[in-house]
Amino acid sequence: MLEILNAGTQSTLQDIGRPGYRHQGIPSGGAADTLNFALANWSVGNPWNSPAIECTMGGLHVKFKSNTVICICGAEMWAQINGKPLQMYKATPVKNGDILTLSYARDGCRAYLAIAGGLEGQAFLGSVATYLPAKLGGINGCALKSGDRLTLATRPISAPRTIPKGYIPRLSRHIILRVMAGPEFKTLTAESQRQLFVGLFEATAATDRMGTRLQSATEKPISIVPARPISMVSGPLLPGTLQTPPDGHPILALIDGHCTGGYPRALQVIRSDLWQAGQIGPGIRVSFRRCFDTEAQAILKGRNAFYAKAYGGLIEGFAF
Amino acid sequence: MIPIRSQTLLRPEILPFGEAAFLIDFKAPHFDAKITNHIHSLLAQFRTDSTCQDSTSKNSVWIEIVPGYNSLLVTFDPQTLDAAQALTYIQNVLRRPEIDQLTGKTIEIPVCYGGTLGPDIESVSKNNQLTPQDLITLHSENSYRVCMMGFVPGFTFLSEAPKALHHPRHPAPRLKVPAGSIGLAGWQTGIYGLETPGGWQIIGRTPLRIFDVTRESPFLIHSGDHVKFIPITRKEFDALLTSEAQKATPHKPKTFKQGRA
Repeated sequence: MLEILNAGTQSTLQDIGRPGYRHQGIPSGGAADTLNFALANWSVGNPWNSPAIECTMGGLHVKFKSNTVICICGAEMWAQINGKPLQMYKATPVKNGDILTLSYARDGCRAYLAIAGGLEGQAFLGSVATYLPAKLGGINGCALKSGDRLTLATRPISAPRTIPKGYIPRLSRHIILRVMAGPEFKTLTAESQRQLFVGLFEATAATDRMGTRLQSATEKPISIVPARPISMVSGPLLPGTLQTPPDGHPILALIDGHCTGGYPRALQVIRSDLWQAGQIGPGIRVSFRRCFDTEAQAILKGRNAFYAKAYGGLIEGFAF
Repeated sequence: MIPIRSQTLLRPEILPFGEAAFLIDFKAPHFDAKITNHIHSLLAQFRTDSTCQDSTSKNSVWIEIVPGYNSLLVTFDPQTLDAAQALTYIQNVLRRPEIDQLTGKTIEIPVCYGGTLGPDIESVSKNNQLTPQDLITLHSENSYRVCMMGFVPGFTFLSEAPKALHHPRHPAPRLKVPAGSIGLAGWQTGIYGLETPGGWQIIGRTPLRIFDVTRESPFLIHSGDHVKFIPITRKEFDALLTSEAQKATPHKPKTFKQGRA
C-alpha cells in the first residue's frame, strides 16, 4: 500500500494502454514515454507493462505503507527519500513509513515510479491506463490526488535488476524527433515543408497528454500553411501525427491524442522516437528530421535489438 | 504512393502513415455516400478476411482499423509483419468485390430539440430562413449513416445533413458542450458522446448515453449503423434521463492481471 500525500502537477496511473479501439474514438493511451516506463518496471523486477505512476512536471509526494522496492526513470526531478537523494534508474528498497518526494522536472517532463509487483487500478477494456477526457482506468478515471491509497498488485517476476550502463536514455530540453511525411505533407507550400525540417519549435503552455501546440522557438515566426486552401473531411490520426491548422501553428498529437481530425497531417513521428515525444512539456524545444520508410524500419530494428529481449535486447516483451 | 485498382470505380491511394500503418485514401474533399459505403465494406472485410490472419494464431494482423469520412487507416505490429507484406494484404482486400448487404443496426435516438438543451436552434433557423419547427422536422425525418466515431469516445459523425440545415460552426468553440448534445457544423451533423469543448451549433440533446463505461457494452453506436432522431418533449427527456441513470452501475475495481506481453 502507498498513500499519495501530494499529487504534484499531474500524476496518473498508467500501463501500456488499450489498443484496438480507435474506431470507437478511444486512444490506446498508456505511458507517454514507454521506454522509461518499461525500464522502471524492469528494474524492480516487474513485467514491463505493469501499472506504474506517471508524474508530469513534478511535485509528487508519496508515503509507503509497506516495505517494497521502487525505481524512478524518466525526467530528473531530484527525488528524495526522507530528504536524502535517491538515485534514478536504480532499484531501491523502501520501508514502511518512508516518504518519497519529487521536485520540479529539469530535462523532459515525465518521470515513472514503478513499485515491485505493480499497482492496482480499475480496468477498462483490459487496461488500467488513466484516460482523463472519458474518465477511464486509474482510480475512478481521475488523476491521483492527495489522500489516494494505491494497493500493490501482484508479486514481481524477478528480483530487482540493475539497468546496465549505456541503457539509460539521455533526455534534453531540445527533443529531436525523426519523422516520415504524413498523408497531406505535399499539400503544404515548399517553404512550409522546408521550415518543418529546419525550424526550431517550442512547446507552448497548451501541452498535455493529448497533444502539444508548437510555435517558433526563435524571434522569427514559423507558419506552416497549405499551398492552396484545401477542403478536408475528418480522417484518422495516430500518436505522433503533426497536424497543421489554418493559423499556421502545428499541433503534435501525443499518446492520448484525438483518434480523428480534420487538419492536414504533415508529419508522422517514427515509432522508435515516440517515447521522446512523451517527454515534451511546456517550453521544451522540438525539431523534426526527415526519415524515409526503409530508414525508419532499420532504425526500429536497431532500437529493438538493443532494448527488446526478443531481438537480443534487455526487456522481456517490450518493443518500441 | 501506390495507385490500386479496386473492383469498384473508386481508386484509393495507399499511403504510408508512419512505418506501421497505411492510410487507404479516397481523396474526396466532401462527403460522398458511395465512398462511405465502400469504406464500411472494407472495414468489414479487413476485420474478417481470412487472408489478413496470422498463419499460426489465426488472429487478424491489424491492430486498429479506423474509418474516416473518406479514408480508412489500418495499423499493424512491425515486429511481426513487414510493411511490404502488409501492403500485399491490403491489395488483396481491395481487389475483392464490395459487400452489397452491410449489417448496420438502426438506432433510434430520442432528442429534445431547442430550449436550454439546444441553445443554437433559434439562431440557426433564423440564419437559414426556417422556423425552429421546420428545422426539427428536416433534421429528424432523415435517417443518417454513422460514418465514423471519434475524435473522442462516443462522438458520432453522421452522413450529410439536409442542405437547408447547413450552417457554419461557432467562430470560437464553447469550453463545455454537454454529453448527448446534437450538433450541426457545415454540412455535418453529429452527437457529442462526452462532455468536451466544441464549436458545433447545438440544436438539441439526447438523454441516452452514447458511451458509458459502467455499461456491459459501453458503446451504443458503431460505424456503419444508421441513426434516426425521434423528437421528444422536455418531460420525456427528464424521465429518460432518470431511467438511464438508474441503469448505470458503479465502477467495480478489477485487479490488474499480469502478462499481456
